[in-house]
Amino acid sequence: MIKPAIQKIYVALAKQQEKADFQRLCRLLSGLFSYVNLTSNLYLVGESLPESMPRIERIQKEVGKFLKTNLFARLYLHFVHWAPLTTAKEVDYYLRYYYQSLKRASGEFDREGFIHQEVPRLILLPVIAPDNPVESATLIGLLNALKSVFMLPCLYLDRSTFFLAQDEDLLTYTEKVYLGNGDSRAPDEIACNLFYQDLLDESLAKLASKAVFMSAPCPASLIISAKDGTVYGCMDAFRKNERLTDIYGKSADELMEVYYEYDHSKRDCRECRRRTAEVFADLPVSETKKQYIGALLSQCQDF
Amino acid sequence: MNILLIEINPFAPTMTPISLGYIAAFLESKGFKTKILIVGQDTSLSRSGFHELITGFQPALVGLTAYQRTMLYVRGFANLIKSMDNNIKVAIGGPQATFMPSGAFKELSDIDYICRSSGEVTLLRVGQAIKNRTPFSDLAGVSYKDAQGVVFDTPEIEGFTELDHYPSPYLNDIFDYSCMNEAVMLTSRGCPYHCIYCYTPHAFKHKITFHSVDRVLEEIEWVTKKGVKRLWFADPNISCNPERLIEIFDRILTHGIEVKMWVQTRVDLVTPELMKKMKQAGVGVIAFGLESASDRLLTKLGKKITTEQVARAIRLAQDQGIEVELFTLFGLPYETFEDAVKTLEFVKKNKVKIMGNSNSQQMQIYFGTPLARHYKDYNIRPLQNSRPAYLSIGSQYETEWFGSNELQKIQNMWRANSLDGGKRIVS
Repeated sequence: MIKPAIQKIYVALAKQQEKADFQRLCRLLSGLFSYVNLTSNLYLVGESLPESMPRIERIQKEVGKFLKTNLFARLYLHFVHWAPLTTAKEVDYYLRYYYQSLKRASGEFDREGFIHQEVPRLILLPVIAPDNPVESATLIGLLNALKSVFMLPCLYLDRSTFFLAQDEDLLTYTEKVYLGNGDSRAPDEIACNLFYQDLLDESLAKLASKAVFMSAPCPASLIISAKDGTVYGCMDAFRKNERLTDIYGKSADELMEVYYEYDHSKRDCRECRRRTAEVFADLPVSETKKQYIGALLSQCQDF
Repeated sequence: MNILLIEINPFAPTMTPISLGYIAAFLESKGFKTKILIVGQDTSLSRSGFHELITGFQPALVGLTAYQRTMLYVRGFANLIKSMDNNIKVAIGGPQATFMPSGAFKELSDIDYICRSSGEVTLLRVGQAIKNRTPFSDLAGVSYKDAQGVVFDTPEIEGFTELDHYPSPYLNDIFDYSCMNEAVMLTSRGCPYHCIYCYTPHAFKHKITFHSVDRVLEEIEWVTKKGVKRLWFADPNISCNPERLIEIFDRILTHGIEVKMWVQTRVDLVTPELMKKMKQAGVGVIAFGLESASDRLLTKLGKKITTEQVARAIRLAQDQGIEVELFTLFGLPYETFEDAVKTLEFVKKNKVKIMGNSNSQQMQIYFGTPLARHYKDYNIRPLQNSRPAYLSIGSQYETEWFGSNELQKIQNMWRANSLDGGKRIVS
């Protein structure tokens, strides 16, 4: 039996991190890529983009190195950040100095994809948490510009920006909308909400395929908090601060040994799935999704 | 000696790799130990996991199925295998390999063999050569690159004309039934027709070979006993021999086998009687190749059907309550934008749901087809002249009548009419 591959890694970036610690994190991530699925997702959750940019760029470089030598692998790189996008000038600034710069760094994968008539193996997905006040038209302009350079824009909305979830025009330009329960902008909190939304989507997909899954563990993931270097084996453990290990003094191989010894069966996965559904039932999701969540909750009770 | 067979398609959910199943069953019957690895959209596999697999199984030969769209990944796996153990030989086979120019070896540094003839017999010879420690002796049906990097093409090798001579992957338990929702059946191989865009007739020299009805029934009974409730027939034209098909359905009915079936065939190979029998036996969906709703184009494509025949076949199926899927293409030679719109309108008019396989796609120009060989004669202009030799023109072309903008425009029109976003299942 081959050990399961890690499907998703969530990294909550720290505002201030010692250079040596960040390098340690990069080395660890670079080692972990050997354990991620052939198609995997890496979420980098920062605060404002100007602050996070150097770290995102550095990690993107590590991703690029791995993909270049491993042609069978594909990676979706989601970089999550909040941004003041009130004026066209601000949008233009973000586009020119941040997004286009990240896009340029992935240019070789776009060329490779074009030559092979396939989607590139490195896909960049900016997840924008807009500051309030925000002009929907301005935001649409940015999303449209991102799409035109084949970046797939997503939105992270919290209580202060939920009203945008009703904007049909805006949604047509958005690859995915993540919803945050609360209004915290802390990377740890945002990472947590992204994880739960992914878990909800996975539960709903399984519900649609009539699979038996309520007690099944979530897709294999790692959550890394750069603030203190702690690594968690799932979001429930992260919530309860039950650390798996930390990034200090451990290689990726050693970390993964600990991960595979970690007993998921001790966790209450059913409760985690149920709580996730409950939280999202109160958020501004579409009516159809609300109905599916209702069906999911009823399945939780029947179980 | 162990042989690992790999099917890669990271863009689609995993399906039963029926061709690899046949190869595995055949090689097992000749004393080789085989394993099949399917790498689909939903497979959980890392570099480290693959390393674990290779270390544990220790294959002397790895065979990879090659398609146009997966060549990058095929190269990736080949490179990974060689980096783990340079003594492992790597072969590629399948649609992209059959007619791939031998010059492609220059860009496929980690590939040792390109298999061109029937998979079972070709890979057996390769396996035997490796087992005898003379990896490049007594080969047939392959091109290979020796230790010095010199490329050789060997003569073709014929597969069996009686398909029953190939052991059944199902009856030999090659596949794991516990995770199989539907079984892919292959009761015949090849196609006798002459459509200029299609790989199959040329790969099989316009011949068709069959399994006996007894063998087909034995397999169906076996897989349904194992709990499989859906059968997906990969035969290009299931009703090429209508009497044989009726006998299969009759026996499904007599044996009381309850199973849902998906089949594909030509519109000129169905009759009211056959359609009625299909419905009784459990065919839920039938797919026809329309390609274009322009009779002028159908003639030029060598399709030898008319739109009237297509409409009639659709009605026959719909009258029986069988759902119809229509395979269509755009960007065909001689096709104008108006022709392409006509195809979309035809599908809508005939009440075929635009979803799944009925989503249209741009024609792909594959190695080995008359179109690929004579593309200039069809006024096809490749957009890229510096592509790697292991890739054919594929979808990167314009025609005299259809530019990139029109291709994008018609694709958007299909997507706008699609009920599921526009992704086709069978390419």
